[in-house]
Amino acid sequence: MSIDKFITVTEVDEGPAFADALFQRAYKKPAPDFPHHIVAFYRRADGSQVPVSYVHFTDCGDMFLAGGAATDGNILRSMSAEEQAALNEYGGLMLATLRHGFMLYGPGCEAIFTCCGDKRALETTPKLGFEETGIQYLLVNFLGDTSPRRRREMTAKAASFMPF
Amino acid sequence: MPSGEIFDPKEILPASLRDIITITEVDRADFFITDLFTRKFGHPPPDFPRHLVALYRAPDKGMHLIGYSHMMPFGDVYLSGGSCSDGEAIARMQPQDRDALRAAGGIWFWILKYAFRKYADCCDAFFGHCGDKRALEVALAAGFIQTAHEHIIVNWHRPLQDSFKRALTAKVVALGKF
Repeated sequence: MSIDKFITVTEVDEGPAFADALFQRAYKKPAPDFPHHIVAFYRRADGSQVPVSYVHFTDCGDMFLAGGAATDGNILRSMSAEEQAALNEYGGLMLATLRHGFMLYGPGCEAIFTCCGDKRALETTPKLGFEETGIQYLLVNFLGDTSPRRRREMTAKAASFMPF
Repeated sequence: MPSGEIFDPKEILPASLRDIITITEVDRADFFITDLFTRKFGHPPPDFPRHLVALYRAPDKGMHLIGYSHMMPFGDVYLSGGSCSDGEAIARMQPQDRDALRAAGGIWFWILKYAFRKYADCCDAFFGHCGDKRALEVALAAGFIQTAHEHIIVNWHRPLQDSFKRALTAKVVALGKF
């Protein structure tokens, strides 16, 4: 079973309207109110959609910062066994939302950074090509053919925004 | 494609609808509206940008699609088409929420308002094709005006010379029904 049957991932205009509850649960603060918001919607048996996973991408010109990833465990557990198995096989919703962000924003920037210290999340980040920067918690995927000097510049810039 | 003006989406909706309805652009329409769109138009929804959906938040936190509009970039103008609302979903809304939506002008009115704001910087004018009398009333209330051409409506949201307006209108008329 493909997750496309019951999950869709999309950018939405307004983060808090869709993700505030799950963001609050994960980070004890409101969801960001500035672009860009990626939401995974789960289609329930009654046809309604519920936001089940979220990640935020900040446009910093030459780079994007991915952060604020959160997933609603209660909704995951409410899914059928078949749906849960399909999601596990896919690699999880964080992978789906991050992939969508890479698809949308990757072509327009030189690198995508993320800030990650969570052990489970660190199982997903390598699948997006994230690698360590040498700065604790700061990971990067350099998308173009960038020089070592340019990489150092961008890494310093990204580090200045931490935590994100 | 420019993402559209950065604004607080909540500014568009009246206070009576802000907590129960969210309008947003989505990257793909099929997941949300294939059934409704096919029911209304006899074919699947467009698979090219841009898609606006209106979602109703039910008391159980489930979000139900109640309206959709396709806004197609067509050079220097946007074409509004494929608009539909889900009467059954609206009928299932909480009575007080349904009354609030009706009193506020209905969902298509607000989707149009949202589109005019979000895409204001993306085009010189918005055109629509409207043959339905009731829909036309809503469209005119939202900011469209009729052109000299049957069923073609337009929203001139920025100052343009008359010659330019004529040129844009001729281009859209030449396109035929959309």
